Amino acid sequence: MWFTCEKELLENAINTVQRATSNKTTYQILEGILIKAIDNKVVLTATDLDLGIETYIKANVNKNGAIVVNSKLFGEFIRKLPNDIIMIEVKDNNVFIKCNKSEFVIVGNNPDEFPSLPSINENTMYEISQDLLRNMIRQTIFAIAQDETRPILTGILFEIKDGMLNFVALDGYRLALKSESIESSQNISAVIPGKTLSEISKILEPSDDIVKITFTPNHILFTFENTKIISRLLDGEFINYRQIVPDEYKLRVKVSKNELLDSIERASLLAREGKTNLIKFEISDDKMVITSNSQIGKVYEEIEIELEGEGIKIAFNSKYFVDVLRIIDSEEIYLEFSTSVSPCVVKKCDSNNYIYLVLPVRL
Amino acid sequence: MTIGDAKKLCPNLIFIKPHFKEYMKYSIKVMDILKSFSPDVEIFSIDEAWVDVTGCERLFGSGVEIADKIRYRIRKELNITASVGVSYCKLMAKMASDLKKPDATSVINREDVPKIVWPLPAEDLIGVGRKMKVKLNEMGIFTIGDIANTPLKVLEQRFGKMGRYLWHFSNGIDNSKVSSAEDKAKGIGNSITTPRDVKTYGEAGEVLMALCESVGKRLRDNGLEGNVIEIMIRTKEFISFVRQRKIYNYTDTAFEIHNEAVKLLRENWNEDIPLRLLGVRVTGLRPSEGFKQMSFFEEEKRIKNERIERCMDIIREKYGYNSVYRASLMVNEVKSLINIVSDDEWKPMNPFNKGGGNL
Repeated sequence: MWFTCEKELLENAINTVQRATSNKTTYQILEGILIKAIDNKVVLTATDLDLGIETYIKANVNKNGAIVVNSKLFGEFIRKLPNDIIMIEVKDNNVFIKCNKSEFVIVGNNPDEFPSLPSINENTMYEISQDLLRNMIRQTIFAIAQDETRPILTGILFEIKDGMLNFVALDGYRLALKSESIESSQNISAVIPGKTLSEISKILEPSDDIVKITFTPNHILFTFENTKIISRLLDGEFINYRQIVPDEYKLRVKVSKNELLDSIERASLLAREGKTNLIKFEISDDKMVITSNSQIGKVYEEIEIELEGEGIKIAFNSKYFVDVLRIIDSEEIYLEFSTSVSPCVVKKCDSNNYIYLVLPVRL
Repeated sequence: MTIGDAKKLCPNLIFIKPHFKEYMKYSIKVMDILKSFSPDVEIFSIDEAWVDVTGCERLFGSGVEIADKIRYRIRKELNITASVGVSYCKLMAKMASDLKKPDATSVINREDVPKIVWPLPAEDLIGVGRKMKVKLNEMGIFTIGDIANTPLKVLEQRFGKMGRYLWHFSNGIDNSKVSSAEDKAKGIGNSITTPRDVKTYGEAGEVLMALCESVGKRLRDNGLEGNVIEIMIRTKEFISFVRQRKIYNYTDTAFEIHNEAVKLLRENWNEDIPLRLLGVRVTGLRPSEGFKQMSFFEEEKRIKNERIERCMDIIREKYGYNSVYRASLMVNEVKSLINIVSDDEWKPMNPFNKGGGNL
């Protein structure tokens, strides 16, 4: 193998595929990146067997071939090189990297030992913009379960139903549901691992460029620009989330998102000190009082609201509110309550494409 | 020797139930005697403690004299015997106390370590368990002296941190202090050696429930809740291990502790290996806040169980611990264990074992 390419291109490609290399593995080969030079292209591949990323760059290939290099070492060296043309050559498993007056030799691994990514028939395709996919991930992923008690909840439900694309995440204590219309007559439901989506969202750009999505029974494939991302799907049935979302409420509060966020963030400073994150809401007529007590002090916050219905006293884990208020894209929001032991539903005032539901704390 | 083995050898052997409450009573009395000699008393187990008598010589005499006085008082006041080790550090004091039993004072001076300690078999050194013994023997190390004379580097390479400890210990180097300050409880736990081998998940689950009930009650009594659940098991072959997991929400109920403990057990144990000992411990403690994050799952079950446990607490306070127990524990003999459970604090013998003791 022998090729030359631009440093910046190679660096970006490494950054992209590196997200799939495994850090903790018993298979040493998986700590590597497979580099393949074919004609005028160089293809980089990395996988941890759950997630696989493949991307290609344009290059001047003098001799076709392939090698596996340690991802961390290779990546760091390329990153530290000046912005210039890089030459990479493989001789008897030794990888020679030259740029200006720098030369670096590392031992490579046999490319035949590198696991190939599952081949996927790119038939059924859904298309959405990078920006939209990025937002759908961002507005739901924070609500996935952090522990493995119910493995299915460590993923996000990808559901296409009746022309709507729904992303659903829930961890047992709260639920985030983001919907967008999509042009598709086919219904589908699959659960994508949180890690996969988290890595994808870091690769996606806030642009209108298209991402193509393909499913097999066990895998999902995302294709955009020069990059392919393949991920295993999670086994099992997702929780029937529609059952959890209440369609009625006893009182509804209209409040400015930023005011609420600022107040809760101040209140949670103390709640955090006490390691409890407990904040209390007292809603009456035209105001909402937020308080928090801990051994080191007290906070009292008052916000103007518009209230429909009777008042309520209810308590929450402040983190669950801060999480959603930071990402919800609406100036004004509705908070819907029924009782002090039933969920609060957060909605946008200007759109119904986002629902967040959080369970209170029993006092 | 296990009870089963003993019965095989001696079919007519008569077994007598232990009296943990009595043991505890005597233990406290012994510790009180020790505390009358020095304020620095570190209680290591029900029948072991360290006393730092530095600076007490003018009051009570030399270390040996104090040791003899302690033995005399324990024998005279409580009519039991004790062996006392006198040395310059905790480790060697413990080794000395094991030299001569049941009623003697033994001394190990710093310069006597090679003469007295080194000829002892390696497994007499604290930190050398059955597995470690085998590994050391494979390396041609049979006595404590062999360990001491093996280059530190070799031991470190082979055993890591543990190797470093062993080398220091075998050379009589132990700089730890006798700490009388009651450790702020890092965890609350109970363990039990079962009268018969435990061979099924069902049985193990019941034993765990008995343990969890006790742990839950003690958490509530102390106004604590924790978010790390730990189990300990020991097989018939005396291989023991500890597994733990952090849970998302803090808990103080037997129900939730048991849920997690059973999961840990199922992930780490197969029914074909008979068990001798089971333990449950809760760590990551904080003062109980009195409120609970609600969940989409099993919320009603959880609330019901909290009520049941609170109710059982009140009944037990009024009528005694054994006045009420779960129906699931009635079927087998597990209920007879509850008694023991309530007294037998989980104190791992080996201070290197994760979760207990310090040296």
